[in-house]
Amino acid sequence: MTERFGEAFDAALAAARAGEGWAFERLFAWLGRPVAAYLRGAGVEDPDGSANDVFLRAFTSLDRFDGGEDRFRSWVFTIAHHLVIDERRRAARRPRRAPLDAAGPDPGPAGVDAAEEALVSLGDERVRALLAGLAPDQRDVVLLRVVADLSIEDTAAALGKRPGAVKALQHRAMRTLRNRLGEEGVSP
Amino acid sequence: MSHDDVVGGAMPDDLDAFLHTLRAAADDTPAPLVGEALATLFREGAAPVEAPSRPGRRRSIRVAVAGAVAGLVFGGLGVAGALPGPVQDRVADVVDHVGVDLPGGTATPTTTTSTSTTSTTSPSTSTTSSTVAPLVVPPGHDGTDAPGRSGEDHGRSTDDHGRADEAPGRTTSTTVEDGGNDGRGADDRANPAATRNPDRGDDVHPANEPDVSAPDNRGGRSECAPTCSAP
Repeated sequence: MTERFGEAFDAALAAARAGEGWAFERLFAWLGRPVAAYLRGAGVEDPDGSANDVFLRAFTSLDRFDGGEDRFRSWVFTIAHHLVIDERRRAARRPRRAPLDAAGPDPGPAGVDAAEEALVSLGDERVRALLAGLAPDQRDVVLLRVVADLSIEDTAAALGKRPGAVKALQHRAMRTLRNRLGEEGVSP
Repeated sequence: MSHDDVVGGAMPDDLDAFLHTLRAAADDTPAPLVGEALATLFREGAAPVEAPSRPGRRRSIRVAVAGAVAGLVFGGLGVAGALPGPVQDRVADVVDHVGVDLPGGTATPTTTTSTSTTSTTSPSTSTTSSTVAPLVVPPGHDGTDAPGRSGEDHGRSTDDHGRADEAPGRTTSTTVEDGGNDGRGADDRANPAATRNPDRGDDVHPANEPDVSAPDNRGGRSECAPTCSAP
């Protein structure tokens, strides 16, 4: 669960706006880990590099941010989500690489391989498989709600959806997971 | 966020275990490596930026909306001629510079004076005046801007009185000359000497002088109307 920055957030944000390096470092230390976890769960190929990109974008756009700690966290995950969307589009355009003599089963739509590989770093094979079985928007909701610890409203803001739509996606994701778990009859 | 928040009620053990494992895996995720660009930012800092200023934006939006509304209201009322007299005159004067003719504030007193003027100056002009009435233009005016001019003249009554004293004959010359001119006569008013140029046919007709000087005393029409309009 994402820890709270605390009362010093406003001072850190003001210092970051003033260009103080220590403030950038503090903010990165606060949100770097959950952002990387979200990116890994979302199937980004290079979670560390992408996390760096997320914070560079955030730190160079502070003149456009207005709000407190919760809003800042939601804003950073919004940037991370946009990066995930970009990554998925690139993966969809990228031709699948396969050896000419490969005769195995169809690996599925482009981008799934990268997601599968990235989810391995979540540490649990079952969790990885269950997440990969969700639709991308359902997976985004689960990751933002559980990994990033965002509220329904903040998740909706990050995804660019209405809160009602987020609740519906979350409900469908939980039902899918429950069904999958029920079918397999095995705890993750 | 509690598990109930996510699943919306009672949760099977399997689903609970899944969410717990997912959260634990996220917590165990190692912090991302700091790249060169971020390391430089941490070490050297960056240029200061300003926080977004909402009040300023809102104020500018309010000013823009107020301006648009005022423009619509004044424009609409100005076109309809429904503004108060001095304001209508001012608006008509301003938009006249960009070639838009609007009715002036009041024109009634002008009619009587102008009619008498035109009748003494030129029959043809008089005919025109009578057809155009009640917004009769002074001789020399082409009539296209008559409404605007009448309003404008009211606004300039004081100044024109002064000018009339300086050049008593200029009005007559304006009348005579403008009969075949473009009707504006502005240049002539601005340059009294030019009104007496014989080469331009600006001869002052003695018979016209008493009648015409007062009416062309433009803004003074309303004030001297009772006497000037006498036949």
